[in-house]
Amino acid sequence: MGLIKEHKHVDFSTKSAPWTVQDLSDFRKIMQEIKEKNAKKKERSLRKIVKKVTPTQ
Amino acid sequence: MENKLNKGLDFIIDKLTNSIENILTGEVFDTEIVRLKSEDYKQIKKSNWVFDWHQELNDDKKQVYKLTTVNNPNIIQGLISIEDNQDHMFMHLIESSKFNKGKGKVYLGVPGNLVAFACKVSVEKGYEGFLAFDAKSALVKHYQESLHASHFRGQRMFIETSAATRLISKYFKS
Repeated sequence: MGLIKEHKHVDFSTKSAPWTVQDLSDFRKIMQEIKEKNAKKKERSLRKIVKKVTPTQ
Repeated sequence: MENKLNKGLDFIIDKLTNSIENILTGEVFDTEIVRLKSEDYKQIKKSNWVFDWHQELNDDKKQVYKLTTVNNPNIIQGLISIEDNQDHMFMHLIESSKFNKGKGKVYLGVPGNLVAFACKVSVEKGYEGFLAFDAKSALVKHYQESLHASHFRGQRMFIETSAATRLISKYFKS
């Protein structure tokens, strides 16, 4: 386990302004793309595992 | 102060063990994150905080959590306000306590700890760790480097699955 240490002179505070409908819509598109990529990656690695454990005939 | 800082579940987590580090001694203290409800407002003395946390507590859409050390649950080290946006978590506010700010800060790791927690909530809700927030312009790069956050546009930033996984594994003992 480690720590993300902010710099001594950097104060890490955030106040978010509400995101516009457009911001959210564009963000959701990006998020969907990343989620799809992640799902494909997961599927590929699962296939590899299945291939390894399935005996060849 | 607003200008300076601008441009910047029914699911209750009782306890989570993480840690923060004393800047002078390097000593590491186990911490816990506990949800605050509107009736807990007395725990937050307005004058000790820049943001209006009482307003956050009174907003039903938002969830406010405090970070404390396990040994001293009455001293708040930092606060975070997050909202469930159904497919991602949104971070409205995050603030370290007075004594964890500036050159004289006592503990390191408070905000990172809270952000990692928000990512964990996102994963637990099925949102794959996605957390959106706004950053002060000057800190966009800092967040990219320290949190591996992605820059979306302007001050808009987000943390995606791989960055969230990295943060969670750094802060939360499995």
